[in-house]
Amino acid sequence: MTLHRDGLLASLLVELPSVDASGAIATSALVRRWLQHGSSTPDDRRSLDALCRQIDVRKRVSQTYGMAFQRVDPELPAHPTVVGGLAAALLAHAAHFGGSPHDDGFPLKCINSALKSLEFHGVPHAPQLRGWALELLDAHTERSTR
Amino acid sequence: MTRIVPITVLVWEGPQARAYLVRMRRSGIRPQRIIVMVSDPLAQAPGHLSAILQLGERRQDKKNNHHAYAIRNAHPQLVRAIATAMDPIIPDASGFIAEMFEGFSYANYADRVDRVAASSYADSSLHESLAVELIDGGGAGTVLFTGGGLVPKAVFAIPGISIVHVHTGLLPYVRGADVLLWSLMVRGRPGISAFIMTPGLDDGDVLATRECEPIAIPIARSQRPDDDTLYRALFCFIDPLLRADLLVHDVLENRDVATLTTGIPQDLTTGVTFHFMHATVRSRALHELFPTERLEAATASHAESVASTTKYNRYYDKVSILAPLRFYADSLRTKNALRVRGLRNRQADYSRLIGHPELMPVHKQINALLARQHAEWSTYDYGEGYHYQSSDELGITGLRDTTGRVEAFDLRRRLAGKTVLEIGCNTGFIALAVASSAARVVGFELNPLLIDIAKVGATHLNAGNVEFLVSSFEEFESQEQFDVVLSFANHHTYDGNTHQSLEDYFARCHRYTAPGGTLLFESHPPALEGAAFAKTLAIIERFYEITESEIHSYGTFLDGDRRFVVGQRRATVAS
Repeated sequence: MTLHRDGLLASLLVELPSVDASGAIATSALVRRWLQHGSSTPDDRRSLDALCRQIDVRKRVSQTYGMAFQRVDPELPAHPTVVGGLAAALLAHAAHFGGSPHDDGFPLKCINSALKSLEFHGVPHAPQLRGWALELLDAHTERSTR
Repeated sequence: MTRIVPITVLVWEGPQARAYLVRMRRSGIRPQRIIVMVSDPLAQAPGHLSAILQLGERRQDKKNNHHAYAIRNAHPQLVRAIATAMDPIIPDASGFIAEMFEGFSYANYADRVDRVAASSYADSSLHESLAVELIDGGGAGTVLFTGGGLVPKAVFAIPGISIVHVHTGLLPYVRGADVLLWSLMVRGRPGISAFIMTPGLDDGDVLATRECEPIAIPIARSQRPDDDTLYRALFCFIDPLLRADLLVHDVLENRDVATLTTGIPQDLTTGVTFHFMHATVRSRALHELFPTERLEAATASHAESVASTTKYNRYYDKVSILAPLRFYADSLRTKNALRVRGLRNRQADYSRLIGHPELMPVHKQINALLARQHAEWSTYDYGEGYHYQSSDELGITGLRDTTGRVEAFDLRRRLAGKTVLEIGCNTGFIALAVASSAARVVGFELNPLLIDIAKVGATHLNAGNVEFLVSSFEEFESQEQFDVVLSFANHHTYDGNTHQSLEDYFARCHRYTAPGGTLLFESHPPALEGAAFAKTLAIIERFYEITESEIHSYGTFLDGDRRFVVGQRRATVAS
């Protein structure tokens, strides 16, 4: 990872809002953990997958969810910074696992969802994040046509 | 002869339903019944008069097949290119597509065609009437789904109903939406699965699966439509044909339709559920499926290569000291990396021939056949006009090191006194290299000119215990079982000539391995096997107990890092 990208992740981390996560899944808390420690456990993957579905199918990311990412009432949209952080977490996951022996297509799915999330309104650092997504996509294309 | 199968085709007007019916007709199959769901607003008028339903059906044909008709009119060259690429899977794909969209009538495909006014599967009042139709219509238990959206639970609740769906992804690995494109991006090839629908998403019991050879449909830059048109063409002319072939070939032709209520449960803990692609990712996928420019470049390059290899034949009539220089000079002008190596190999071989004049007539014959197959063989030539396999016995250097392979895999010891079957033997140089150790070797290969080369080699080497046959693995038939089956980088092929799933491939290997016998398996390079290789090993493990599995370092750049696996035939195939 380049210094430039480290700086991007650090900025996203600093900008993340703090949320009281009691009794529910707080998207911001998940994103903060992934930006700090990565997302390598099966639970991380399940959560990323659930958020991909929120982005791809429901076309929204919420502040909080119930158990198993069920929607809560009222459903409040996540802050654009959280969406940006989530995009970065998805891309970091794709960068780590893409082309690895464990690559079953999920890394590319993460890139796809990250690109879609960057079209949500007001996502900070969207051009840099989009550039990162395209780099990862290039790397995938290069691997698959080699 | 026509066979009526007890299945109801529930038609949601569009290419999918039509492709299924055309493919069935080609195999002499007629469904017991077709129910056309007429969603056109006109058909929603009270009373469901037959004439109104038929008028609504014509209107929805124009609407639902609009893109197919429009693309055939505006981009005939695209449809031709698709048909050519689909020919290995669906013979005469062009005629198939024409039947789908020229004068098509459901009445030609079943003795009974009913129409039901239904705006969607979610329309509760209408799927109730659909349920009545199904029950009244003779209890047709097996229903073929042909698209049109989510099926509500109420339809699954119809007593005795089993809904079959064909999905363009290899289950359980690829589920969800846009799966044909995802399969190309993730697995490098299309996959297809037939399964029994449930209210869940692509999670029902599987009836059949197939992973196809990679498809690439080159399009000249000047004729390339926009991505939206290519995407629509995919769903009009590629996706439905792939589905239809699996449905008819692997399910309706090979299974008792009465048993389509049960399949193999999926491992729901594996695989990825994909959603619709972002335009950028979709564009990448479409460029993999429809590469630009490759057509002109490849055609020009191939023509040049054919001219050269044919021209070299004269150097084998009479020794020429200029020939090695010519090969070297041509290698400097050639851009294709494999041809550069082929020319350098030819240069080295020719230089050695000058000291071995007895080999000159053999090389003359073999290289003339090689040039001919490069010019005439319509699918990929692994040697790009030159030798793919080496043969030290014949003084031939190829892109793969046969002696290195034989020694690295310890083949002479493993095959000593054994009967051996080699799948896809190319020019037969491995078979010839081990012939002196084995009791008997049978090698088969689809390309007849490569088999002609193998036979020339066998004659020159007096290899009387080797038999070479022209056949694909799918069509290979023998009553014999062999002590050892060689599967050297043939489980997938990159020439579009293999049409069976990995399961079918290894089942056939197992069928031709004698009890107590052995499979010797070589992988493709890791970059080509990808992450799916663990699954390949798991499939092998079902048929053979894997006793050795290692990577050898030897030979050329193409030999490196391939996995060599030894499997002992299981008496009973593991589930």
